[in-house]
Amino acid sequence: MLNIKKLMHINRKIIIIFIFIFTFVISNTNFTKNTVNNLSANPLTSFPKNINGWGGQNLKIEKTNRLFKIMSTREIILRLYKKPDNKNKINLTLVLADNKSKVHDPKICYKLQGFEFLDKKIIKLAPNLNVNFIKTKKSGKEYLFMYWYTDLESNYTTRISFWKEIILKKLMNKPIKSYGIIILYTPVENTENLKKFALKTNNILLNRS
Amino acid sequence: MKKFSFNLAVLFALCLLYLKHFPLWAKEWFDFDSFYSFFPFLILFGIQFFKIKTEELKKTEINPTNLGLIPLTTGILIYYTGIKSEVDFLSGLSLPLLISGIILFLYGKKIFMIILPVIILFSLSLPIIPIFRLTTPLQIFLAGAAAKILNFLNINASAVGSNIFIGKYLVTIEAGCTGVRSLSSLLVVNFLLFYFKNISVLKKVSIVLFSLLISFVGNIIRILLINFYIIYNGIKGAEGFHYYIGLGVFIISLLIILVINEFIEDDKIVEYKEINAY
Repeated sequence: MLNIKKLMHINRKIIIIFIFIFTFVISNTNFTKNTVNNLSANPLTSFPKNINGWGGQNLKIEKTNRLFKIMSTREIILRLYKKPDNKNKINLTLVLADNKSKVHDPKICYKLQGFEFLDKKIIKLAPNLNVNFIKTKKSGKEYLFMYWYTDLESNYTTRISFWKEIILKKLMNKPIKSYGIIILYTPVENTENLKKFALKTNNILLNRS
Repeated sequence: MKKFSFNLAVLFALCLLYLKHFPLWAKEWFDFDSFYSFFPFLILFGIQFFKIKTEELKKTEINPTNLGLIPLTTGILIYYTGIKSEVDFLSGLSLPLLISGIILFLYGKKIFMIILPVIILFSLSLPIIPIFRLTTPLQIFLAGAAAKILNFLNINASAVGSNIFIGKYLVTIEAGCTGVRSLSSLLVVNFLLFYFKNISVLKKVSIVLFSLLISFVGNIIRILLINFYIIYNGIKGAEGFHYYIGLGVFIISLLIILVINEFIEDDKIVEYKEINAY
């Protein structure tokens, strides 16, 4: 009786060992080779400096900046777009990376920079584009923020919906073109221009990808 | 010929699953600047725990339960999803589930309940929690508090987000400056010292709350000292000062906890004996 009990116990261990080894093998084997994140044709390099009359100027950031510990200069654009009258200014942060860990929640970064979040809503700019629309305040001045996530095929409003899609695609061995986020901000009186600029940016990214 | 150990084989198979995670986790566990640097204290806790509980574990009846298949299956599915989707949080999260599943499936509920504290602490030590989400409000609060104290001392300073502007200098409160790092280590040291002490739960909770307070106040003092250093000496050498002052605050906090440990005596257990009246 005791031997049978011992045998049962060993059998259970063998089952566990077998399951673990099997799981290790199937989890770490690529059955298809179509999940490669190919950024060789990086749309960032060709992202226009002139968009509907807004002229863009790259913001100078020191190479020692912590930002570049996370990602390379090829994966991010930090640009200030303005109209010739110099009144309408829009800040663009565009990240298109090969790794989702490089796409952060912008609320955290901007809060740490001193932006106070006053009001947040989701607005629909186009059938394929819902964006986060946030009113913020920094040093007594109000700003409007707009941001959304993209994989260059679809857009996502929340990080969770973006991650969910990534996980599903990965599980089904579908390719992911890129891990991206688009952040725009401007002084509060510039709302309509911000919406137009967001639509244009989205069209450029989805058409060129 | 030496007998084949199936226990070792199970452990090996489990380690195989996390082979590619271990280098990254080990880097976090043994880096003083990391939130997870309390891991060495956890090893001490584990050794002490199993030393004390060996007899109890030996005496406890092994009664495997198929209930262990629930955490095992869940753990396997989460692991698979985590690895395939490259979400380290998921693959890391599967480890405590698999450990729990193994123990329930092989040894049963009683043994599982005995070693549950070690499983919980080990789970917390896995470097998968997005700590920066917890520290953001603290970073902003501490920058504001430090600027207010400096203003109170007639020093011109202002806080914007997690940045403190003092004259021409800018001091940024990083996640590590919020005290969560020393707090995590202090909490594990607390666990190590007071878990085995025969004191009431109320006392244990009070000690944990007290270490929270020590860590919080210690870090405000640390930030102020760094600010004073920059005001009087400039930015040169501030990085080194920042490191040593952090270490100093941690050692002082640790000493306070050790002193408390010395002074707290075990609660007396009063035994009522029935007296035979006849």
